[in-house]
Amino acid sequence: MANILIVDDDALLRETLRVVLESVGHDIRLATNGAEALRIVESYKPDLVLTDIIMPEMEGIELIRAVRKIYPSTPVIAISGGGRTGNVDFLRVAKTFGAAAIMQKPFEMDALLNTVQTSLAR
Amino acid sequence: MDSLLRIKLVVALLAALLVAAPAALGVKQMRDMQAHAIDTVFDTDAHIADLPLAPVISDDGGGPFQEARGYWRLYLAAFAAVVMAVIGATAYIFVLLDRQQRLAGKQRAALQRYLDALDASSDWFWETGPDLRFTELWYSQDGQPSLDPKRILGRTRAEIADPQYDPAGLQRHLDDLAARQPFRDFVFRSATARDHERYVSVSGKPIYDEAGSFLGYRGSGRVVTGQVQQKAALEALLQRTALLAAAIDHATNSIIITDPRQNDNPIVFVNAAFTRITGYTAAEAIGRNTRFLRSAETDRQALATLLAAFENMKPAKVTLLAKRKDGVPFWAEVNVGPVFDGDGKLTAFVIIQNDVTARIQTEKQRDHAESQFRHSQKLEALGTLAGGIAHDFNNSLASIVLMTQFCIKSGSSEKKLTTILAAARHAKSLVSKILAFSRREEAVFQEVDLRQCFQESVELCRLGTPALVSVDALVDGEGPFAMHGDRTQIVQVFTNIMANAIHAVGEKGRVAVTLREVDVAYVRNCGFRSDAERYACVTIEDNGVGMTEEVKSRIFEPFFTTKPVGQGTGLGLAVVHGIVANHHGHIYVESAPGIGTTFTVFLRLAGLSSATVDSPTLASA
Repeated sequence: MANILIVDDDALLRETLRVVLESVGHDIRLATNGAEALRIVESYKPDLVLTDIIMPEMEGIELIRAVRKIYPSTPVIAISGGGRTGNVDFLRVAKTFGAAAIMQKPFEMDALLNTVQTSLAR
Repeated sequence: MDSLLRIKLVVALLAALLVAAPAALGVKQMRDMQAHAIDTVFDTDAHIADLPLAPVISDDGGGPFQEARGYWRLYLAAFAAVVMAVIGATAYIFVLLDRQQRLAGKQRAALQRYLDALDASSDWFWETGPDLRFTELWYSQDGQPSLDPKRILGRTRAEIADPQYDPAGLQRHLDDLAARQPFRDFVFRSATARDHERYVSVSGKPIYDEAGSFLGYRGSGRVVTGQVQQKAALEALLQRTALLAAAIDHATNSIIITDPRQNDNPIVFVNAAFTRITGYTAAEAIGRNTRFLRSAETDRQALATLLAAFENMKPAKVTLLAKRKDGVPFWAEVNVGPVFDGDGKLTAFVIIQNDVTARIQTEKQRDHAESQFRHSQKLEALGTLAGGIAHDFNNSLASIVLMTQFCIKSGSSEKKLTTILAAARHAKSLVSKILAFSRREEAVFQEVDLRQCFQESVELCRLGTPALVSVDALVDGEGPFAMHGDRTQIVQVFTNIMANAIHAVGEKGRVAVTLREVDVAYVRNCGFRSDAERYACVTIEDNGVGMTEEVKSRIFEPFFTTKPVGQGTGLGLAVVHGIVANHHGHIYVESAPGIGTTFTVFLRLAGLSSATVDSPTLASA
């Protein structure tokens, strides 16, 4: 299956996502912020990056831009619990900056698996 | 004619009679002797005994010697008549002389009287020639020490009167003089007085000689400086009084004067504004006590203050609900001031009444707007918090949803279920905190446990705190930390300041918050006037970016913010300040750029000596 990098500052969700995606056979790596994720991307060369948007150190948007720049073929799925903060729709921004898909937390397991599958198929 | 003169005249008359009687007797004797001589020629013996003096000479017998004695008697009588005439004339001369002397005495006395009057008088007398130049001046040196004849004699009235003073009056006077009219009490200001203001009043009349040609004027003068100045002062006073009366009449404030010396302190004066404001005319108000202006809804406390002012003769200012004549109530701002006379006796109360209905309504609207503003402010704060909360909340929900679905598909395990439970509890706690934060709308003062507020605020703030920011909370002491206040507002104070501190440290740093009890001396040392014994002291300290003096001086201003557009409203600390002040507390801030910031909040703790804390009127509606 695929190598997937999960980036989220929420430990509980990070763990949940790992459990779910591993269960369908993916190889999973975890990062707690964008900067850490970017380092892992270079060595791990994931097939897909699943990233939160509002995080300390490096925001998800920056990570998306960086990944899209360095590895244009690697799809990035943006997920966000913040949704709207200060009248900014971060998911929409993420889409603009090249996210393959966006998902508003909380999302269903099927939706997650489908979106991951679809993004990898591109 | 006095009695002495009359007696003297009678004496003179008697003397004249004494002279006249013997003379008349003598003439008759001579006539008789002629008749006798004729008789003797023609009838020698006849009628000798019929002679008038016969009894006188009859004793001496008759004969030629008798004839001789008859002539002697004639001479004697003539001589007596002459003597008498001389005496009478002498007496008459004496009487005449005496009369002359008495007349001269009277003239002297009259002259002396005039001299005395002149000497005693404050007036002086003057005379002019036909050219109207002063020729004579009579005055008493004692009465007129300042009168300088050198400056007057030889001059005319026009030359010694100041033309600046009452020019019209002076012109009329000069016209009178030209027309040879008498004049009385003409007042002019002396142009000859050297170093002071001097007013003179003169009266005079023209004088003519027997042939009717004009000789000049003669009259009197007197200094009337005092009277003129008094009159001027009185006129000024009257003018000022009229001005004050006009001002009182034009005043927009209702002015009432009552007389406490009369029974029941009745109104003795009201101005036009009184009628305008209350609807009562002066006639309807005067003579009555002011209580007829009260409304049934008049605030008892304000009324008590007002009555105490009357009772204690002290000034007072209250705002109360009064009543118009048509029954419509209005808000009146009432100023009562006692008026005392020179002896310190109360003579009047001046009551200035202002219709502040519009202002009170505006204030109520403003209070309402403020309440709304606080409400929206709270919503905004809640919205800002929601950003952080929703993120966490959605993460929890995502975990719950995903893990639950995973469990359903793959069969549950304890570890998976524990994860779900943890996420669910986290979400539950979030919900309770949001509810606690947004529970009430209106400020409600009640017993508040500051320890609880403090801990709740800390937990609320920790929710949105970045991972590398530590929020260290410490409650120092076992004290109950009970105070009288609005719980939601107190929490808002703490969370607003803590949120700022967390924002200031950025992604990494430390925020230390403490709650402890301090005494009044501590609060005073910080520069505050404090009236409660015990205070809770809450400090919120961060090692963040700090503030410059300029920023520090403005942080409590509404709409002042250092945050980027969209991230801060600039109202957080303004609201904090308002709430602290509303709770009779104090707040101050210490900061240094690059080192950090410390906010200190003092809140009055409920205690024996501070049990009576007034509730604001906001919540009473």
